[in-house]
Amino acid sequence: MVRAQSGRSNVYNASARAKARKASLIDQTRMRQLVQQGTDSIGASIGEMGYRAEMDLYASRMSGADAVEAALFHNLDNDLAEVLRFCQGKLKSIVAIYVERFDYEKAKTVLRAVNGGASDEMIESQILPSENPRNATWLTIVKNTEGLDEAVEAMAGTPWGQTLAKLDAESTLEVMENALDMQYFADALRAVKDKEGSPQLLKYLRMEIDHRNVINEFRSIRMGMTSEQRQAMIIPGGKIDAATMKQACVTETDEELIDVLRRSSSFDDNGFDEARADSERLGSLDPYAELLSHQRHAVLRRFSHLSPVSAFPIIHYIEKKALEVRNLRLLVRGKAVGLPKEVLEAHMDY
Amino acid sequence: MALDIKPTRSELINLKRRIKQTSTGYNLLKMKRDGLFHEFRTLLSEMIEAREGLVGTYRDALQAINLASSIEGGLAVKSAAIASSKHPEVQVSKRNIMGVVVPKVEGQNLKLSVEDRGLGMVGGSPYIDEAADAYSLLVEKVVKAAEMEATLKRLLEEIEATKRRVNALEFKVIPEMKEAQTFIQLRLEEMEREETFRLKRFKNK
Repeated sequence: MVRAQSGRSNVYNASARAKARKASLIDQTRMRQLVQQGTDSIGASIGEMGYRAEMDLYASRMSGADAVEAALFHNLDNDLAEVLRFCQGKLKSIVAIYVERFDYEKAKTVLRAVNGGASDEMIESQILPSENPRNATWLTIVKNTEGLDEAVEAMAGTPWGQTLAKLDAESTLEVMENALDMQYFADALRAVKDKEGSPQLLKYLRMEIDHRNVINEFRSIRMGMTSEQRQAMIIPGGKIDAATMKQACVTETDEELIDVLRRSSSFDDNGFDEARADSERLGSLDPYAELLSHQRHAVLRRFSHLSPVSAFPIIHYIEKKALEVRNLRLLVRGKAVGLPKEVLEAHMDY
Repeated sequence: MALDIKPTRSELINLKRRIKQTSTGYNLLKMKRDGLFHEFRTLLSEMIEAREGLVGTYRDALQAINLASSIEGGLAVKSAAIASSKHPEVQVSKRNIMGVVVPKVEGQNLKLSVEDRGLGMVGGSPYIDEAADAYSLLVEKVVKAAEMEATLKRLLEEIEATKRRVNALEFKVIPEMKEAQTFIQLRLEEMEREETFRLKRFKNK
């Protein structure tokens, strides 16, 4: 847990190191070559690209896509820890908040395991592998707690533990997860608005909030949720103004929702009409989710050349590394289940 | 065929009564067989439709889960799957179709609502939502199809048994009884003729 660091930030050094690391990530050409490879050789190729140590760790117990995915996450965890290690001062606090999003996911997994009564062995072998030393704390909570209240108590002292402690004792898992997600974005916004945070980083984070809100609106229309429930789900702090989001919560169709969102100048409606047609045809929200993901990564690419000496290059590296892991996972899992190349390429971002 | 029966008038009366009873039973069994067959055909067409629907739903569910685990990751999908404290359960009871006891399968928590799944909405994934919805629908259809399939199997067994009984009555029991009736009638007539002849002979002496 890295929060509220004092002292001078090493922005110059850290951004230079982050850029050097970014240069060693798998580039677009190599990723496209991987798409062409068969299921047998793709694992070996990923191993050669810097994931060998982690893949060897899981090879004895797991196989196929499960082993590769576990290795990818382990590698990402190691990488994020190294990035945090070379950041100092206030910069470290900003980067830490961004890195914590992965810990928030683990906190949610622990709460789910406790709530659903999943066996310790299953969690340890399949979801939070014990080979990854960073899962040890989480596995201890899973093993030693019986109910949600005990799990919350065991998380005391952590940012997520503090958030959960503020809730009613009788809160459901759903309420807890929503509170954690809200808290993450609130903390991230607070950290990024600090003078050490770059304006690009703030813009990027606010766009991420908008995209989360927009996709949640599409989901809630599908689920037939009430406007009150939908309003409670809105994450504050996005670029789309609160009044527009409030109006969006009463829409009943995708078309109405897009029309309302278009009233906001902060909403980039490029491609939404096509996405709506595709979504209707496929009966899935995939076209919207992909469109938003492509928009977000395009902005990230554009911003990557700005603010060269700020927290942004480090966050950019983290995002690119997470994207690399996402792409590789998509490739391995997608190939294993026989997704066509066109589907894989359509869902990849660089 | 050797008929082990007494050619007496009372036996003939008995036999006639038994033939009438057996014929009534035979007609009833034939009606039961036809009724079961009608029920079977109705259920079969429903079953074929349900099967086709099941295959389509399975294909959709598989596609949704494949996309979800490719995009969100297998770990995220597994993590979402363990959240709910409500697990699907099925209860098997019995019901009666024309005297045939068939299973009745009822499920609980087969289709979980968003609230029942227990996952937070704010950070949720549309891919996982769609996979969960598709699998909920699939489980519901599997339970329905299982009930129909078990009912069909049980009906088929009963139709087979009834058909065997009908055939046995039609081609073995009733013909044999009728043969016995004919035999007794002939024997009685013969005995009557012998008696008449004997009386005539006695009169001539």
